[in-house]
Amino acid sequence: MKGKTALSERQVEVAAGTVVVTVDHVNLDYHKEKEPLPVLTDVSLTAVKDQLVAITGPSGCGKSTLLRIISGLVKPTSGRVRVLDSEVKGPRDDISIVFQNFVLLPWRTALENVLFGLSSRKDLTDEQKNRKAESALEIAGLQGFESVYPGELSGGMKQRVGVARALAGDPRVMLLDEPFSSLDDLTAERLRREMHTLLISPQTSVQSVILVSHNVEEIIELADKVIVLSSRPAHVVGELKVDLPRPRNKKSDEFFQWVDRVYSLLS
Amino acid sequence: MTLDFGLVALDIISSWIRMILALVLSILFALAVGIWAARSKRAEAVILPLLDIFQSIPILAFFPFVIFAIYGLPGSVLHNFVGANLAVIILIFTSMSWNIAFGVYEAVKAIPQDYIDLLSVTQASSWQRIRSLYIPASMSRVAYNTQISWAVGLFFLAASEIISEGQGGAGEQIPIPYGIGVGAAAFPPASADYALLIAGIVVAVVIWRYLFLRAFALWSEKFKMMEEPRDVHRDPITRFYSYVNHRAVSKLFLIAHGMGVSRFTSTITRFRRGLKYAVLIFLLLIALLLLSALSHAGGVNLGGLPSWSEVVTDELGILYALGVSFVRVWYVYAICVAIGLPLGIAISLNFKLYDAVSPVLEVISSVPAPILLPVIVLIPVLGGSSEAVAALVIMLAIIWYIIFNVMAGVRTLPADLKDLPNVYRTGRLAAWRNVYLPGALTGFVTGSITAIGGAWNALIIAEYFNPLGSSVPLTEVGSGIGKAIAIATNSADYLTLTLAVASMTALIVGFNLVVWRRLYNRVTKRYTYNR
Amino acid sequence: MAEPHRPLPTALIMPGNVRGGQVISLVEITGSIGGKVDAPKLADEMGADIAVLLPVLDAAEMLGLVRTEKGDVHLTELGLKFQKTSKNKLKMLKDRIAGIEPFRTALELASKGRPITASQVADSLNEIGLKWHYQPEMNESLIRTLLIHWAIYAGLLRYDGKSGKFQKA
Repeated sequence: MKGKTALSERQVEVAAGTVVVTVDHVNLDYHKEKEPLPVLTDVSLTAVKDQLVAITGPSGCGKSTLLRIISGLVKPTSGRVRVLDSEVKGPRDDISIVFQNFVLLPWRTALENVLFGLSSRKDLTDEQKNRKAESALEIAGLQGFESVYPGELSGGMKQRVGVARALAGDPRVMLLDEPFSSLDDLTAERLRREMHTLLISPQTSVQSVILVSHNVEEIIELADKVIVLSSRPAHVVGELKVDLPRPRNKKSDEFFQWVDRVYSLLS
Repeated sequence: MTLDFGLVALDIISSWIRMILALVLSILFALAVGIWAARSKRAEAVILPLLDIFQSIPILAFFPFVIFAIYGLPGSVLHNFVGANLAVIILIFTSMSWNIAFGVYEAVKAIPQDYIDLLSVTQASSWQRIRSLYIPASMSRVAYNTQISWAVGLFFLAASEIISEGQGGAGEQIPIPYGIGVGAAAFPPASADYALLIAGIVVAVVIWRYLFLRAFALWSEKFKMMEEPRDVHRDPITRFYSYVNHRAVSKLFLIAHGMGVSRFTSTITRFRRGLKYAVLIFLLLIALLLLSALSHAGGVNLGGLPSWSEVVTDELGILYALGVSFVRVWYVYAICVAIGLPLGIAISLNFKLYDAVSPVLEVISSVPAPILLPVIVLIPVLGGSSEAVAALVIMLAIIWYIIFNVMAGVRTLPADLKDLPNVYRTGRLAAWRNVYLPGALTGFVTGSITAIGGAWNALIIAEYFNPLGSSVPLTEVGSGIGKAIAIATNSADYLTLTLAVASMTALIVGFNLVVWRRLYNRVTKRYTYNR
Repeated sequence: MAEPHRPLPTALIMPGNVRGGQVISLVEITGSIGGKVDAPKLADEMGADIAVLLPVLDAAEMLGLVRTEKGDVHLTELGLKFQKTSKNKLKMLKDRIAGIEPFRTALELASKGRPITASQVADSLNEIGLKWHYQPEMNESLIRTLLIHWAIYAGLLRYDGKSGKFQKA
């Protein structure tokens, strides 16, 4: 596969079991009419190499905000986020995000959208960028769709462009913000089935994935670890290691037991 | 120096009474025509293209005809105070009603079929249907579009009052004794009274807008067919003000709809119908011009038609003047784009700046540009250049359309999209090129259509301004169609006036249909953000 | 008289709302429950309404991936192979897709080497009485979507979004 060697560079530098993402006692207050309104209180979590960590909680609890703090887009009131040993102080090259509503530029083709994700990479020539973008689209299953505009793609394909854009820059950490919830059931089902193998694989540079979702079955299907948040102000009410073997059978009793366990923490 | 508070108050009150009467007339007309067009296929086929044309013609240019037809006909029973006011009110009405009518049409069209079926089942009479369904369903659009129409109407009110002042030069004063336009023309520029008038207008606009128009809009919300999620926990005052802030820009965004865009989103078939009218007008105009040329060549005088050379090459010749004005409109527009586009984007990207600046811009923009002309003439850096004065007046009349539409366009982009350059740390250039400029494009084109339309209207005041009918006008450009219209009006030369207005209208309508609409359709196809 | 079998479609026409992904899902799910299932059960497993399933089923049958007999859906041999392929499944069906409308006509038009538009394909199909929608604009857009979602995936056509033109791959 094109670009394979480049993609794998970051893979080798980290040993199995290394903590990739650390969220360390993070608090966030909104300031509305002078009074601080706590949104997140004392949230801590870690994601180790090759782990997919899912964050869930009641709607509006601030789980998407937590994801934005991890990405560096939102600054916490106190606490820290680290990727390996460096503190996250703002958006950076090795963290990328996939949005619920895709957030593609409708006036740019699929390839141009992926290239936009590489704008900050001054270390790459235009030709290298093109190659990277093409190979990311191919990994996401969109070979042949380079010059199609988002408006002509289906929802599932748009999200694949979103994934390709996030993958193109060889991120260590991939953040997924409800990535399947704007898709119809069939499409979501298919993309979910591909996603784990696609992201946690030696083909990509991704070392940890953090998924925010309200869909408990989806979480049990995908996650190695589940973090359950309370309603506002959100704090961690439970942490579960899901040790079901893959591929996971959604009809099995074991699967349902895991789903129940998360539900009982949620309520 | 003493300030004449009473006179200023009288000016403002008189103008407001005219505006309110015109508004009531507009709403009644809009309800009748809008409902009719929405409920009858045959009416729809005729009314929509007509509204379409009426909305894009330079209404102000038709004012002299309106005055003549209502007030000016010798021996008319309306050759008095009532007739003169009626003429002004009708002009304002013309500028206000199309926009509201489109709103009603769209609202009634959007009523779910179930509701209409329900009334059929209960065998409601036509009047019952209108009263219990069509009018309530239109109410929120009427309120919304009224806010837009008001801003547009104010411009035409001021301009028409000023023009009616100027027409008195021929010896007889048109009996419009009070009004903001009258005041602006009559008070010495840079006088305390003039300053008081401007201040009074600002206060009146703010009070009216925030107390009446907004209250109307809030009240009309209860007629909304669909319940929208609303934050009920805040106290009414906070709710009111957050509402004001949110709507401030979106409302001005819709000014564009007021002057000719809502129908741009509609179908190609309407485009084709509209084109027929434009072609018809063009043909008529060319026939007239050919006739005049032929009559000149044959040495025949056909009822005082201007000769070919007069039409084409004379400084006040219609085609020559039209060309000069065309250039003027476009270069002023270009300046407005250069300022308004980046400014609008920059403001909307910064929440704090946006909240601070938008109410200020709103108030400044609501002072009708013609009122400011007497003081613009005195601005020293313009060096008394009539070209610069004209450019500035046009600019003040139209730049808001660009700024506000761009602002609204950028504001409606989802937050995640605006964050995207941040996520990928793309740098400013890439962010503007890939996200902000394309994201603003639909609003920008919408605003441009409106701005160009507004510029043609503003020409009539900006190119030639002689409110007191003196021998030396306050400002006068070398050539221009607005000046031609103004002079022809003052000298009651209705033939030249007709030709000038017709050629200007044909140019604008044709340009709208052939250029703007295609551009708009192209742009909305790709540059509208929908996930 | 016995209920006749569903007749094989004489003209092979792709339903306007069916996407490759749906056919893939259908085959994979049928395979995962033993290669034979009745339609209502299949719809249930797919989490789709039976009304949504039927055109997908038609498409899968047209492509030779499944057979339907007395309400039961069977995976064919090709279907089994299709299920087991991991990458770019639709490429496997290239030749079959090429025989179905609107792809057949599009390929024929594109074979002359000149890039073609969806509206040319629509016009050409109109001549033989084939339409996906009574409104010309909708018809054209459905054809464009079908071409994008099937012919590009299958590697039959290439598409340039800037010009809106398709070309032979």
